[in-house]
Amino acid sequence: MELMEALRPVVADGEQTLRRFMGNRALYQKFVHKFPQDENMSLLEEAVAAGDWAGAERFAHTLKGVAANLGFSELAQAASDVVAALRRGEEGAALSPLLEGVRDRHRDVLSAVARCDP
Amino acid sequence: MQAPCRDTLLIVDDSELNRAILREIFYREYRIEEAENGRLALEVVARQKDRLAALLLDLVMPELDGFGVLEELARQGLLESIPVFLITAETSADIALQGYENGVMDVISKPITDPSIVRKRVGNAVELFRGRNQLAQLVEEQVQTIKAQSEKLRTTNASIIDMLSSVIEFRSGESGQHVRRIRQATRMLLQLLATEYPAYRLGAEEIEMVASAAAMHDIGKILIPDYILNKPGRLTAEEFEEMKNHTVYGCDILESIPFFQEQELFRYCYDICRHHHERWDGLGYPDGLAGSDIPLWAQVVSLADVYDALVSQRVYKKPYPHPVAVEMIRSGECGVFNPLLLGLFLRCADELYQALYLQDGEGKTHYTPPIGLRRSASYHPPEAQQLSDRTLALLERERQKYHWLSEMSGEILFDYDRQNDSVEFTEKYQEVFGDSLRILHASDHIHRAGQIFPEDLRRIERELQALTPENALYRTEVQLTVLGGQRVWFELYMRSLWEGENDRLCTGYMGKLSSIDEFKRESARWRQQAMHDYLTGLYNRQALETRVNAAVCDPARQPFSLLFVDLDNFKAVNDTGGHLAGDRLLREIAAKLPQKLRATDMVARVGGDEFAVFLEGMERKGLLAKKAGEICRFFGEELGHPSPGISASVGCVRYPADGKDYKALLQRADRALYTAKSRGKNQFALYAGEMEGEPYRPPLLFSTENELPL
Repeated sequence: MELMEALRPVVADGEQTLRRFMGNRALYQKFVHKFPQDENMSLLEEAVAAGDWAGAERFAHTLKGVAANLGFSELAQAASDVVAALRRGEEGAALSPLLEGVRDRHRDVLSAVARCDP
Repeated sequence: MQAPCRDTLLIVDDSELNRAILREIFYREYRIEEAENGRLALEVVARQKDRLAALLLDLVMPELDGFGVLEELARQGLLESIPVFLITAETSADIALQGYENGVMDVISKPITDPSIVRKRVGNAVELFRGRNQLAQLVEEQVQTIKAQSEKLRTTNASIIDMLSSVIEFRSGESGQHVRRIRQATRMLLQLLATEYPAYRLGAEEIEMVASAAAMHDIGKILIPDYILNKPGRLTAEEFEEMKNHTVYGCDILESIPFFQEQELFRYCYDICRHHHERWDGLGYPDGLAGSDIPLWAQVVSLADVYDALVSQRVYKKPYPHPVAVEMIRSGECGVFNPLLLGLFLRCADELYQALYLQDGEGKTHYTPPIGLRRSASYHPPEAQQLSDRTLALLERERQKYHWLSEMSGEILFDYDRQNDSVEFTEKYQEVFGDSLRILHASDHIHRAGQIFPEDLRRIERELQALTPENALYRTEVQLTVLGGQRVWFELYMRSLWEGENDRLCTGYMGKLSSIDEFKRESARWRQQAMHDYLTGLYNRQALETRVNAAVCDPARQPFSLLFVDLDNFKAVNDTGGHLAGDRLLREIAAKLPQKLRATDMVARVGGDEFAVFLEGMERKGLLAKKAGEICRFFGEELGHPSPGISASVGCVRYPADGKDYKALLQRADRALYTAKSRGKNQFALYAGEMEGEPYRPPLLFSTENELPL
């Protein structure tokens, strides 16, 4: 499927996003296709599992940035919530639902990207 | 120097995506450099700091974060020339504030919503900084220019200082050595001081500055009138007061030099100028400072100056030998000095003398005699005239003896030094002419002083050229104007002095001026007497001949006439009344006859009873006849005496009509006279050509049969 078409479910404002990339569709596309290799999600999971809250914050923060740049607004928001919670010192049970949210959004993005034409 | 072109943007972010997005925004306008952490960013900065137009900086990065980078940039002072933008996802105001406080230009939040705005913001800042950098460049250039000008001014001022110092030297007639010596001596003393007393913290640069400033100490003398500055005798109280002012005048001059007061050198120059005559005990001038109130540098120059004055020739004094000068300073008779400085001086005095006042350093001196016997510093006597101190002292004694002998003679003696163009007189000269005893620039002075007429001076100068070592004496008479204005005759007697290879160089003259006025007046009187008849006081034959010859030789060829008057029957007077009666008659004639004549005419007694009358300008026969007739009547009728039949016979001749010279005129006058006598006496006869044929006895030219009373 055409890029923007495929990404519509996960990109709230396609125009804004493209504008960020100076209208350079090819550049955007390149990075979109790179996104699945981004390790921050799994790193986040590991950090949480290991109780490395500082690391978790860092990975969540980075994930947020990437997502935001690429227009994955909901994913970005979910990651942002995790960062905020971690900064508040929340852990364990309070954190779980937020992490779940990130996980879901992340899965959504990956699906959408998979549907894009290479 | 061209400012490097700032064309590069440095993007610092650990996220490749972020870097790509930013690159995409700016790559068209800027060259892009990237760094993924703070450390690498600083490496780029180090290499390219002059090319960077701006820095886009992420905060959270491994190794060195954004604030770390900012801190380093601030430390290197780069934040003034490179605008830094913080690109951060943090929305809190705290971060932004911290960013601004750390020197960022602006904070841009990510994700970027509007790239074109970001571009504009960065572009504006780059523009701003470019302007600011150019301005800084301009200011830097201006500063450099001003520095260069200031340096030039400083050098110019130094030259002005040197020049002024030289002018002073020349004006006060001292040798060019004085300033150089003071400078060197100051330097030497200060160097010794710095070595012995490190507590004063005198650096080499400071010493140099003080030594330069020392050259200025007497510039105020430029405002002291010549007659005080060069007065050879003692100064009066007022003159001394004025002289003291040279300290303050010097400060005035220094203050008037533009931009000088800002320089460090000025302080030294000012202090030295003003205070080099202060005394340690407070009795100096102009401010009466005492002890360590006197700036140290002024004290040093003061000491150097005193020493130099003692061992050098000056207008008002002769030099003292070195050991004498040192002793005078030690004993305090030349002023009171800082004991510490005095001690230092005494230690290095010999070395000072050696280095500065001798022509060679072998411990022997070139004798530098005072002005009377002196030759200039540039002239070296043949074969080293190197003398030991003892010989020096002997010579000094001889010089003094010579000086006193010449003074005691009571004559005007002089000694002229050709190379210095200076002359020295004994005291009698001042008494007679009212002029100074030591004169510098003598040639010029003699021309201007008005004592000798220019023609006389030229004549003497010309005649002096002819002198040689073999023919060295010169004598002449000349009229000079003395004190009071009278013209007096002097005999100038002098000898030229020779030195150099084969003695061919005339180095001067020594001689005597004697008044011969009395003598000249005597001889004038005698010459006068030689021209007059003793009995009657009339002119004599000699005078007549002189007068006639003068008129004949005069190119104007003025005519004149001569009357020869021979008394008739004079013998009878002597016979009847005795010789005294004859004398009385002659004297009566001498008294009254001139009254019949004009002032330009001349009456002479040319024989016992013979007279001649010289009539200037007379040539017409008619007038001549009239005059001759008057004279006959005078002798025949007006001479009131009881003597029988005194009358005169007169023979008249005219020049040039009747003769071209004295002898011819005399012959023809004689003829005419004879004619008058033979016609019956008591009459006159004008010479006429026909008389030549007649026999006659010429009484005038040859012996006369009348007695000639003396």
